Amino acid sequence: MDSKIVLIGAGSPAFGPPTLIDLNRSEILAGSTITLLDID
Amino acid sequence: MVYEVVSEDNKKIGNKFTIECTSNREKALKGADFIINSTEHGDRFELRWQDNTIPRKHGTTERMGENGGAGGFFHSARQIPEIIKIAKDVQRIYPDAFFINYSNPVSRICLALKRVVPKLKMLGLCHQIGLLTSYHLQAMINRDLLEFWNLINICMVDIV
Repeated sequence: MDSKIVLIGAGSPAFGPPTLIDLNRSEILAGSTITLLDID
Repeated sequence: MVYEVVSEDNKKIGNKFTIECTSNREKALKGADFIINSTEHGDRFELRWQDNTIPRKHGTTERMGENGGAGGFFHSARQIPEIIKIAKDVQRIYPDAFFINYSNPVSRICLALKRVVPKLKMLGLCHQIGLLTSYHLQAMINRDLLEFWNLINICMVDIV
């Protein structure tokens, strides 16, 4: 799937890396782009 | 730092995803199918402490002051204006995107979004159900039921 998934607030270590683990549980989303967005 | 950690984790799972990072909201939102918001505005720990302790001084009985009561109101007043700005940007830049909100107070933020940006495709979720099945239920229930819950959890992730 070529979806684009934006994580707003991904600069938080408690949000960014665990969300990748969550998304990894889905086979449908394989091949998607994950964009990490935060203020710095 | 998080970008490096996520990129490294992505390598471990065979580069299943393409990872990019930016601080430019316009650039990030362009062409996005799903937008997951988990932002906290202001000094999270100091302000959460104040949300909890100041109403107590005046006689409220709230436990956390994060989502309910007077503390929850203060938290909402900080969060809602900023998240509405993000939601309006989503509507302007890519109105077909699906907005998933994890920021607290979830119910109050979602109510505000529904009223202010009614055309936004939006869903409010709490991640704690994942923690519940992964950690706490193990101690509370028997193994079979835990496996059942994990199955439901996996199905929910696939639907999202």
